[in-house]
Amino acid sequence: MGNGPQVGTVKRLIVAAGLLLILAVAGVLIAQARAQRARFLMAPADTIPSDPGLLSYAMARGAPAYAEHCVACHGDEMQGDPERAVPNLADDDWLYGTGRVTEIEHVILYGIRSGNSRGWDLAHMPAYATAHPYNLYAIAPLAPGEIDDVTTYVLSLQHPQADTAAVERGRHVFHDTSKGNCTDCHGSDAKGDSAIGAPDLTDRTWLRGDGSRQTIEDSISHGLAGRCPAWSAELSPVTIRALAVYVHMKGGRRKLE
Amino acid sequence: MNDSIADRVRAPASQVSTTRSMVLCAIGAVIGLIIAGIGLFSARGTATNNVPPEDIALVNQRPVLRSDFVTQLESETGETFEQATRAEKLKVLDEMIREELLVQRGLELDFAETDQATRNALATAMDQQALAEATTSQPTEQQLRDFYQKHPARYASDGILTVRHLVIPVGTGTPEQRAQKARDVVNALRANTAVEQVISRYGLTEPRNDGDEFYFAAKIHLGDALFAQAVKLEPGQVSEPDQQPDGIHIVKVLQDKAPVPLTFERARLQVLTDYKNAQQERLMAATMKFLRERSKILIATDYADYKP
Repeated sequence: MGNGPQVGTVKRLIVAAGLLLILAVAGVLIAQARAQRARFLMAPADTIPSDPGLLSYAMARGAPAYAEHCVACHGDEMQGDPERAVPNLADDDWLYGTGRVTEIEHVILYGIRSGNSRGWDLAHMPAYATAHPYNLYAIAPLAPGEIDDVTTYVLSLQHPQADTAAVERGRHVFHDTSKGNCTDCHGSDAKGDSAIGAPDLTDRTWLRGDGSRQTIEDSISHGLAGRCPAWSAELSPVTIRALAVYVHMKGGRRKLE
Repeated sequence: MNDSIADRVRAPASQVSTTRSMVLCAIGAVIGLIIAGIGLFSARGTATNNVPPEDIALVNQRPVLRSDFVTQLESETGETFEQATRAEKLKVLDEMIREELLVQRGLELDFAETDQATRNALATAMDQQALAEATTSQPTEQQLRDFYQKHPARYASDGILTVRHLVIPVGTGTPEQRAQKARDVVNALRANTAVEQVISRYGLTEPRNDGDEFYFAAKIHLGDALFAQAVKLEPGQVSEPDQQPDGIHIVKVLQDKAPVPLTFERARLQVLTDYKNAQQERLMAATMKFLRERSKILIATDYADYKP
């Protein structure tokens, strides 16, 4: 009975010490998290995949962010959607850049034809079967026969075509700077230009469709101008960088390795 | 007995509880101050002397993002961030700080009010903002189908017209002679005389012979009136002579592939583009409506008939 108040005091001191310990642990954990966050944001983006600690930090945050913000267009497996000309992010073929984290981060931040002036918006595919194929400068429309010929030429870049005369006519229009001027973006070797998002026409990767005559002809006739939103105002810097690392690890790194 | 127990318990208890209260109060105050301090110095919008990790600099509390720095560095030097030298990095950083300082000074000088290029850039940026909002939201499949069904005329294959377009120019005989010649030309063409033969026999000109043309191109080439006649004709048929300032025009239709409606699946990409463009226009219209409603716009009496 006589020890009652002392026992109570001791108990209270233990509880207070416990609380302080919990607070101290919480403080340490918060400080560690902040330090980790700072290290993640301050590291050069392209070095993150080779740092296991930062990589796991990114992957843990990138996966849910991808599921929330990117799945609607790029799909569960980053497979894209050729019907909507949404690029596949899981292959090693990059429309813009080479798949480096820095480049992907820039796309996520500012988008593609997103309305953000820092985003990618240097060119788009003209709609050659319209009176005004291009809105940035004057390009003459192509006639139906010319579109057929260019389509045949593009097909010939991967499979020999029986109508060699059409291939030659198409090649001429493709390279004619006063007509199709396709080389301006796709290059004289038709291998594209990742600095402006012009696809390589000689590989088997198709941004839109499956490489059939109809889908190639549709792209030449009606043009293409895909868009990716700018997330700089919507997502935190950590989430954006984590997303970039996540996308890079799922697809882009293969080409670089 | 009761009093003695009460006295015994109360006296030390009050002493203990006073000390404990003070200690707990002090701990609480310290924790509160720490939390407030963290909140105060890490919250966005508050002044700080620490550069946040996502930024490379703060210029009058305006951040310069590391990712922007890396992009600018790589674009200026043509090297990756890792390849760039320290001197190059510092040079680019200096350029970005310089730009930020100049922008801030420009805002102080209210260039938005006085400089036309700045005004144009701001107005364009507002348009682009509507585009950005439209780009961020994704329409559902049903919304796209509804849009497709509301605008069926937009989603059709491109009509293709192939014609021979002949002209009896002014200055070749009297108007009556030209009218007679036009009737003869039409009869000869309707009798399936070869077009080349008709041209040479009657001394006609042919402004263009482009072969297959999309409808829009044929319309530009023939003009609205002649195009309207041409698309009503079957292949092989010949138009009535059409008197125009430069002469009498006659068209023989060789081929007419009328536009064919596209299925939703085939037109999907176009529908998506059109939907987003329409959404952008709606957003811009809503923005303008909001701005007009909250603004007081006074119009001079001699322009009182102004309506937005």
